Amino acid sequence: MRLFAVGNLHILACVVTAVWPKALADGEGGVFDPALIMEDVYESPRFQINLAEKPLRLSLLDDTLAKLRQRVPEDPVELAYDPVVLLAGSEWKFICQVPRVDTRAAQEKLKTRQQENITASEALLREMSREEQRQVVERGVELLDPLKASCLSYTSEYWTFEYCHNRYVRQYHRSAPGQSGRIVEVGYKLGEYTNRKQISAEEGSDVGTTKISTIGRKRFLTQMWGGGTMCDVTGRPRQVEVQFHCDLNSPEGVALVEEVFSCQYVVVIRTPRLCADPLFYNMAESAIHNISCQHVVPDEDYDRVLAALEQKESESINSLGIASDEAHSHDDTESAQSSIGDEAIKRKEEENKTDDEPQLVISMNDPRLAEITKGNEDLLRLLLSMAFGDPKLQIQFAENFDAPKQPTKEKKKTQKAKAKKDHEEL
Amino acid sequence: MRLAFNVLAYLLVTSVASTETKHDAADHTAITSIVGASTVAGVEFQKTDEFTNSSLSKKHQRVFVEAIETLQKYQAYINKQQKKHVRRGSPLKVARDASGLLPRSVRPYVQRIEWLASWLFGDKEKNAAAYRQKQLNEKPEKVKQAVATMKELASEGSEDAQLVLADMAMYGKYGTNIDLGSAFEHYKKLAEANGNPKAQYMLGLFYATGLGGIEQRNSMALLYNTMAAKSGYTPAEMTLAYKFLTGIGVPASCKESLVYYKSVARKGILYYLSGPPLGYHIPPYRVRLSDDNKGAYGVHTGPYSLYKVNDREGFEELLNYHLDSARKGDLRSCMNLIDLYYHGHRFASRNFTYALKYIREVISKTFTKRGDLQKGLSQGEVNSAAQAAGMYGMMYLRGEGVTVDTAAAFKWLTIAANMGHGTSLNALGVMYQHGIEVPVNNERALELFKAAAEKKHQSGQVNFAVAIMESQPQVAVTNLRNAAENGNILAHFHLGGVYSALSDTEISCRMAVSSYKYVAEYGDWLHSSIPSAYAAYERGDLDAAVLEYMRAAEMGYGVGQLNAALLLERAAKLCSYRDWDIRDSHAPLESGKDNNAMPAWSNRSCVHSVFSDQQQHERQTLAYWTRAANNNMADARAKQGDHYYYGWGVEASAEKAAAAYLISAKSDANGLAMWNLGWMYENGVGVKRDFFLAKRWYDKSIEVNEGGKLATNFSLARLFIKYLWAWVWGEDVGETPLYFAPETAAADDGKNDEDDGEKDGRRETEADDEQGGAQLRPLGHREGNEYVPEDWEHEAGAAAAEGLGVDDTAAELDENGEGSLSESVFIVVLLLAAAWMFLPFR
Repeated sequence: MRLFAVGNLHILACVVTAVWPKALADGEGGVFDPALIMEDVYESPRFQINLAEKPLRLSLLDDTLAKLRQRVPEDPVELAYDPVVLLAGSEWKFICQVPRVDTRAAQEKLKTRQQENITASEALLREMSREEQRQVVERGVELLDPLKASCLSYTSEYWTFEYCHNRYVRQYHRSAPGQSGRIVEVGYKLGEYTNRKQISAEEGSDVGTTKISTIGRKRFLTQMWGGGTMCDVTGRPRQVEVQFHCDLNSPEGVALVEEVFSCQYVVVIRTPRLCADPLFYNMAESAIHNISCQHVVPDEDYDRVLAALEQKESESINSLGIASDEAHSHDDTESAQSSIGDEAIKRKEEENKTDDEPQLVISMNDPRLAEITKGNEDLLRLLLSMAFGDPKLQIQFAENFDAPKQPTKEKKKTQKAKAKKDHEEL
Repeated sequence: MRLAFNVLAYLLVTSVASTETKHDAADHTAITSIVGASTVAGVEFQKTDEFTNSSLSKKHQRVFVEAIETLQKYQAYINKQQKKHVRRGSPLKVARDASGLLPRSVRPYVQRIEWLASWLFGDKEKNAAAYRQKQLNEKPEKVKQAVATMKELASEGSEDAQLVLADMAMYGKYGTNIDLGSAFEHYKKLAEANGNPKAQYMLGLFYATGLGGIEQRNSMALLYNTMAAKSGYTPAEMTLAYKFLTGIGVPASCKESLVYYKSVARKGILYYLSGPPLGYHIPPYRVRLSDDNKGAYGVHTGPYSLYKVNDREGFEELLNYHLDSARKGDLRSCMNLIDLYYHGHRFASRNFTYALKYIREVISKTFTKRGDLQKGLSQGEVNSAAQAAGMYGMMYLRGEGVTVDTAAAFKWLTIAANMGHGTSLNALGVMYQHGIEVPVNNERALELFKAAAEKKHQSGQVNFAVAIMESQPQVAVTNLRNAAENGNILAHFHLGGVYSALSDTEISCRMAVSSYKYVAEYGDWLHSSIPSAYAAYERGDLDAAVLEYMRAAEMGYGVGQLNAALLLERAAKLCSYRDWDIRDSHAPLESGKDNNAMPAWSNRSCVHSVFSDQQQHERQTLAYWTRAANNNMADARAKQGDHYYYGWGVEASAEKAAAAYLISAKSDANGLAMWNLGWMYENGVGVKRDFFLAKRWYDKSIEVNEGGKLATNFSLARLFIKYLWAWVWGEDVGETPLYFAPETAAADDGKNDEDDGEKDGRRETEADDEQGGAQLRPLGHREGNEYVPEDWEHEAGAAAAEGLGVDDTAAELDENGEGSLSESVFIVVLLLAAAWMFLPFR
């Protein structure tokens, strides 16, 4: 119930702020984000922690720190990187590069981007040929058609509002039966479907009277219904703007009725039906900054950890879809956890196994090391394998935590994993 | 990217799981089997504020324990002393510095007079500070020595000793002053050297809020909390859960939130079940500090206002009455007292001995010596007898006030259960289920649970549901829902499990989160900072209280957010515009600046604030009002509007203020917000000027809050004049007259009906509210600010009216539209002389 209440407020905030700019007679204000009233002061900048796939050797920590300090971020909003070394408990050690975000600049950017978004979505509408727009509207109206089946009502304090699709909007109040047992009903019409305002040239059809509107990042359909009961304040018939919003999270119904000016109303109908058209169902997110972290391990443990991680990675990619399916097929949630526990044990066993096959990964983080190695890889391999007394020793020269390459690589891999997951879920 | 994070979350889950591996067996029986409420034997729980490890030698350990005991004893002594000196009345009320309202040229003179007055008559605040300072210097030798020992141990690398020192500086414990700068350094050292989760969590708090002049950084807050959560530190997990749920500083993600909330809830439930049979008692009700201050605004603002009469005297009167009639043998009073002492109350702590005394009394009155009901009892008396017998049995079963005696428990529970007492049926079921006193008999247990569930007993419903989950999941979930609606945490926990297993959609995730969140917030024996915050508040240590409430607020407690906002607002009132540092010390992000450089704490500009500059203080206050409002705390939305209107902590925006007021007026029926909206419509501030809507909101404001009638009528009168003015000058004022609208009953406009209808609905809710002219400070009431509120002249005008004695007569007049007009005109005539110069004809 609580969720619904909050949801309602959100819509209220949206509409209030949506309608307000129009109300500014003196040209005050401008475009502004509808969700701002609900928005937390510290909502942005948003961050996300990314853990690098490969751990870092402890001996390379100082060099990496020095390197990180000098690195210049690509994003202009990020001023610099702060390297931080963190411990989690006594056994885990991480090095993280924290972008230092210029909050003011970020906000400016967000603002301009929102405006861009708005203009972009308007531009999109403009770009769409009239024919395409016509089709969207036509389809939208079609999607809404089943609303005809019954009237939606909404009670707010004294009044009950009734929205009947393609017929009328009215508000009424029924008094409790008085002494004579008579029930008095007071009410009037806010608008009639038949009195819709014409927007484009096509007469008589819904297409000519329905418009695609945008607030912030959200698109919805609007119709303007006139022909309500005469208003003695303005001397004109009442008018109502009917808005149809896509909303997947709450049941179909009237989200809000508000008198924005005297005798001018807004009715918001929220319905999941409209979401069938992707044009009405998209939410862009504000910029997310990455905090890249890397696990730091003592040199002697490095190989073991790396091998274990690789194992884990491949396993988790393979089992992602299946594991989640399994977890959900059970009624009991605990089974999911216990299965994770089992997996952990299995992994541990496998870790031990991989220890039998020695493998060496040499990090090329150190520029000096990199220079020496250049062109001499084969020789080095031989030397090392002799030093370790193991002719089959697998040696790998790896560049880990090397700045600009890291994120892109990671991204690719994640996308792949994601695609795989999506695929398996389908 | 997502995957990488998932891996981290996964590591977190497994690490949480692994730290509890030794409990896993117990876990399993406790949660997954059919056991609804059972004992989890051999599990030790650690409260988050207890000391963790000892990297010390045995000898050092002994030294540490001795020192900490001395310090804790001294703290208890200080607490007692402080409690003695605490002022009665509303601790949130402060004498405001109103000199900010005066014209600049006059201020220096007023300040001189003030200074003279404080010099002559003594300044209360200063006296208190001096007293405290004196106390600081008079620390007993033993305590000083203990502190020195702590420092020594800390320098030798004891984590616990460092933590003690850090907490000492953080909350001003053991007779010291709060020193957030040194606290930050201590925590930082601990986090860097030992990876101490508590220290990391506290650093997260510093970074999330910008406490003590630390630069507010979402990134660092997220990092430190994640690290602390990785070590399984519950408050950090809860903070992250809330952040991910609301998307503060992180991308909003229900799934991440679920992981953390689930972990917190699980720990809570494990602790709950580790108590005596049927679990520990639920933590007590959290007090809203607004209740002590007559609401967030100090007045009753509407039907959902945070206003609540909560006086100790009334309670004591009632208690004495019941004590008296119980002594005379009144059963009903006895039952009330049993309930009071068994469960405890804000003004009377839990006391099993007293509860037992009255239980025995009831039993002796209603049962024969052999345990049969006496004859000739009324139905009410029989019910009381059943309840008393059931409670008696429960107390024997759980060993409350008596030693555990399962035989006696079984006897009395059977008697009460046979009389149809729900609690007893359930408890008896648990005895059969676990073979306490009787051999295990699951069929009998199920029967009893079913009977208890039919009596609408919550734990019974849960136990019944868990037992039949496999065979009749539908019935089980219905039972769980019923119990959850009444606030049973075990029911919420099981529901959370059901929802999260249901499907992978956003909706089911949100349902699961809301269930687990409930468990995390109401089953918070181990991690809540609210009890210590309230204790600090009770003894008048408001700085420590605000820090503890801020911790709770960051964890997502609505009450924590409300209380933190209230206390911060109080501090802001105490800091006059003179106290805040004028120079902009907050030039952020200078390139050469060390990122973690901490401004010296002694440089803070206002001693009452835990922040170092006004901007951050007000910003944080706004953040907590916003979060409290999003948590459905009435009045908070209107406070948020005030912040936007005046630009406290944000860029001022009349449109946002209007939007916030509209939401507040609509969903909370907040009278102040309605008045503000009316004023905004009247003057065209933030909205298009519209006399009719202005009048409507003014009228509604009167309906909701009759206390503000005078001010509102004054506003209506002014509105009338403005309307005439605009009409004379030919502006667009609409077609019909504003005040002479036709009065037909079934009016086209329906305005009057609306008013009547509302009156009927609201009357009862505000019966006890009498605040004459309470609404005189409509748009917030914080002074001492450079900015002079545009409408402060109302206060002057209305105050003048009060001086003339208009208040009473005006309040009685208004019954219908006509009255309102004549009254308005009357007031206009009366006040015109006093107020004409203030009226802003715009």
